[in-house]
Amino acid sequence: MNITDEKQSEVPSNVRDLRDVPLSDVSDLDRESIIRRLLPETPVERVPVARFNSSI
Amino acid sequence: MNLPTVPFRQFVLKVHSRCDLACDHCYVYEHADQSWRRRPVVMADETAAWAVTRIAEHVKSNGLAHVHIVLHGGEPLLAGRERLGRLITELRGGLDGLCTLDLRVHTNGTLLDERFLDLFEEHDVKVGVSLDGDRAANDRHRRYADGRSSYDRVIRAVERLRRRPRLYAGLLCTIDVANDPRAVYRALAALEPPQVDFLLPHATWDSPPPRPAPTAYADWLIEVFELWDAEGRRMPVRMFESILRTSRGGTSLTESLGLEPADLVVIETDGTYEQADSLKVAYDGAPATGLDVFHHDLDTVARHTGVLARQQGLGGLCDTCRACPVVDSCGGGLYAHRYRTGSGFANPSVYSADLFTLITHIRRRTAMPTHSVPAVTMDALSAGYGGEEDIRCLAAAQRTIRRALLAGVGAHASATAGWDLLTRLDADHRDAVDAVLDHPYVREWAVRCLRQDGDPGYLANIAAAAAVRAGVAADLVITAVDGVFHLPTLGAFEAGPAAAARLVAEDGRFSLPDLPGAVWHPLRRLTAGDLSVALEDTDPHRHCHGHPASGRLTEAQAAGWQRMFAEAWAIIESDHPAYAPGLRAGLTTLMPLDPPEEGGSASSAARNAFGAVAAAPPADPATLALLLIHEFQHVKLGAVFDLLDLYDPAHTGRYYAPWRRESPRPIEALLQGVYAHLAVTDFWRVRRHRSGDGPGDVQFALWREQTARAIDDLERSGGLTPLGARFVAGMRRTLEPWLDEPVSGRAAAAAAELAERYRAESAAARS
Repeated sequence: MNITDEKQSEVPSNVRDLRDVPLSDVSDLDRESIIRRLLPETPVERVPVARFNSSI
Repeated sequence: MNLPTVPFRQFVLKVHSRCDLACDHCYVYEHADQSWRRRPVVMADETAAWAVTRIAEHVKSNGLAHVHIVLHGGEPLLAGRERLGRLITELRGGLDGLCTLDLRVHTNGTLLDERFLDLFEEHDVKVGVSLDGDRAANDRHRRYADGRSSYDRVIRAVERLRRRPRLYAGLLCTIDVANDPRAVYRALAALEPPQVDFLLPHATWDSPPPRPAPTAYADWLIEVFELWDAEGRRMPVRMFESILRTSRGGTSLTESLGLEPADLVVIETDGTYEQADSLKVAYDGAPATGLDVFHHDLDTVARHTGVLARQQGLGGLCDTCRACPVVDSCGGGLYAHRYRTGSGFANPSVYSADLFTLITHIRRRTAMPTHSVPAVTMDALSAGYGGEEDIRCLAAAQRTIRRALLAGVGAHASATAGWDLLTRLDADHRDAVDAVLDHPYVREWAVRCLRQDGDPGYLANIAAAAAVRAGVAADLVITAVDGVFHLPTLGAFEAGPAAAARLVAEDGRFSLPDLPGAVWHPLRRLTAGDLSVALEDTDPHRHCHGHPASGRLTEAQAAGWQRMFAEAWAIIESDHPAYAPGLRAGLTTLMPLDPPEEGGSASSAARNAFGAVAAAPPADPATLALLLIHEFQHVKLGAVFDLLDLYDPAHTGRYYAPWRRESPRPIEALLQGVYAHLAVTDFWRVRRHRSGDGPGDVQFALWREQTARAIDDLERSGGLTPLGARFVAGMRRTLEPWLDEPVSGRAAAAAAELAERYRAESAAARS
């Protein structure tokens, strides 16, 4: 999550630029990524199923 | 090793240890661990009862709200409908009152008939089916012992499941790179699964997978990814979604990727606890713990060294993995796949090259522009200033943040009407929508909603305000919050006890037709030359400044603020011009506070209210000028924090801050205080030369010294990132020349006395 690299003239953030993304097209991933950064204590990202996935 | 244990949240119950298929790639029977030969064929009722007891104990002792249980095998349906029914009833009876239980069964599908499905329907057990793709792919491995195909039976089972969508959990496909990836994907997609898992065949460095090309598995998966992406990602593919999520800082959805600690335990048919099932591929006995449900509770299992070893995140990986740029997505791959005789699990995955290639490909294909801050802007801000372009750069990111937060609230059911209108307006009247979203307290409201402390229905008010600004006709129900129907950027209706009201808008006019007696309080503005800011005294979400907000101001009070603001702005422009461009670009709102009961001034900025400064009526225009400059420093730095990491959020150091003497401050707060007091020092540096400002010399001497000391603390803290260290160095460069400016001996002595008193007060507060 830490972005501390610096290009020559820009300091990049990992916050996606959503200004030109229509509200209806803001993806769950981008929304959750920003909410997670701003509100790390907010449970926006619950894993809905077991992570276990061995086949039979 | 003395590490906190991670409670188990996933439990795999091996209810039957044999299988009716003889797949030649099966990790249970065809790999190193042969413990299945020594185990009971089926889990006895007594063993199952002990397993439920142990899980229930663990749920209670760890306060778990939600657990997953997977009935597994062998082939679990071989246990028979009656035995499975008894087990499921026991599980539901033992756990449903304690936690939310996600109960699943993984099956090869050959025995899945309507009677099993009735049982699963009755007890809400979701069903995942193993299927390796089209007929040719599936029959490459998934055959009966006599060589017969399993395909038709499995497809019939999946068709039964499709008729019971509530039970249909998804399909699990083990990859064979000899299969046609497009045919496999299309065959799976045609069955409309709610989720697909593509699984790398279990392998180790001792027993590597067939590999016709150096990255054959990545090449195969990339072909599937491209098809999945091109066809609109019709169904979730857990591996791809996990890579996308972890690439954006999120968590993995699968145990085979990501850095999350393992929280899974297996209970075998004989009641023994085992570690990850996949470890069977490493060596005979690899998953064993030596513990069982009859004699050991799960808290004991959670402390087993083998379990702890899979919970170390980055620290548990080998040097090669730790240095890898995609480690946050890969996580070293599945633990079992790292095994090599001699070095154990301290290796990259045997699929390391494939995982690197696949993750890199997906990241490249899904890259989106991110915000960035020009280096010159960082230099200007770290010096304590920032011009119009610099502040606009921060404001641009705030617009992104508000849109993301709004989308989060828009997903809430009670926000549907507002969301529908707002997204329509966003398509055709973006400027009007952005103007409303730029209102500082929209973010505060959205954050409250996401913390389950706000009313998502207020989204209708936001949409209504945007419709009014766009001149678009709208007719929708808006919400009262704290007794007012607020329309951000416009004002508020005061309408008695009503909680909701129909709002009708057309051509920029609007009304509450069902509440004709409602009193409209328009938003007023403060102006100074070409600068205009909102005087916000009706927004119900403005109470986020740590001080009581004023109620609706009288016209006389508003006029008083207007006079004070105009004179304060004149002082800023004439005496503190370095701050004027930033304020002009970023200050949008002044929120009046109640005068403090103890007298003196009060002011505040709020992290979730970019552009707003709150202040109690000041004693004079110069005081307001100081408060605006001071608080806007917090506004700027908060916006920098939103974008960039200047400090380690895990840093636990606490530091003395002379401006907040009640308790030591965390590093974020110290940074904020230093940044604000750099400007406070600057203010008094100029102000002390103006006639009639007696305390100016003392204030300058006091704050330059205290700010310099706090900068020392920051630099010594060890909590700054490299970027944070550079930012603090910028502040020091601004401050250092001021330390040499002369002050009178009397002022210096008075400042030293104040500093000493502040330290004593702080010590007293802590004792």
